[in-house]
Amino acid sequence: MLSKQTKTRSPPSWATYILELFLPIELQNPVLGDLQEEYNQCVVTGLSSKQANAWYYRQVFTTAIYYLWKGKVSNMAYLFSFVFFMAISVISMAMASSIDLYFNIASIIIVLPTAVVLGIAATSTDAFKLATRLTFFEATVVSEKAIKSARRFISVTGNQCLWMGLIGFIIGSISMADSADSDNLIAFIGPALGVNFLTLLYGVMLKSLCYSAEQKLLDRYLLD
Amino acid sequence: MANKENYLGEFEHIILLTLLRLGDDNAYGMNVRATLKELVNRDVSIGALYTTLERLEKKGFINSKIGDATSERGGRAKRYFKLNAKGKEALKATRDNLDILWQGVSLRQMPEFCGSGYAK
Repeated sequence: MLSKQTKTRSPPSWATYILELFLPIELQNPVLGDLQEEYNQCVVTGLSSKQANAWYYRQVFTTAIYYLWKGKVSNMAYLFSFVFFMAISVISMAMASSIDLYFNIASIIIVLPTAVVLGIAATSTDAFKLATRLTFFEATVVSEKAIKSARRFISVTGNQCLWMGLIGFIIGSISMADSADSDNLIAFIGPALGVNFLTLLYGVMLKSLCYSAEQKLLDRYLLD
Repeated sequence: MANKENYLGEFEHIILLTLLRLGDDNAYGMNVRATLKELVNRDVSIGALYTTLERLEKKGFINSKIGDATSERGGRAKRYFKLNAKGKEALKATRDNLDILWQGVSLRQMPEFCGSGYAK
């Protein structure tokens, strides 16, 4: 017979991470610990890895929905405003011209991951996690120092988005200037400049979201 | 007159009874869920359980303490719950009230109280 020790496994870490975002901080240890213990029991009692994972996903989903529903309206408000902001932006783009015109993966990569990495570098991964949770969900027991750190993360990331948008624009402009052909200058500059401006647009949009997230933190947790 | 805060809801009632049954060393979230499933075949979501436990703690019926972190829980600590004197009093009062209400009542009599539509 296999011992409990050999059968002990860890539940999918990404699911745990997602649930962690939804749970109030003071309940993270007991709830996630209980679920992991139950998950191990599922494994010990003979459930296959797939079945145990399915059980865990179900628990994560129902618990996340429960706490999302239970969350205060002000927390849901930011989530709603975020979705609203994105929807209005997409509708504006679609009305202006073809929606495809406004999506450029390279521009997104230049702006978002770089800004997040620089934000983490300036603060910490804990600040990144807390900033995500405080922006979208509820947190009742958090020290002022941790909240200030989360706020700094949002502020640095927002500013870096703007800077990276500008840097991307400059890089694109240099490339354009270098590749410009005097014979068909206008035909070349038009599309190239459009893509160039996209980097700047992403930077400005993300800065705008970070600004309102930062103001929410100030209003809810740090207003003197 | 009893304060509304001292009343127990049905779910609160069974949670307190389960805590009492489990005792001080075993009364934590996972065991409460397992006991309810085993004894009364009731699947309780972990969110609903902790919400109720926190409410009961706020009402002053139970106390909680954090245990040691263990490897089988991924290094996370258990949160133990314990019924205190006020909780025991509330539990006793609820049982007394239910006993009074059950006195002289039989489920066989119920159709007579429920109108002609349910008489048979």
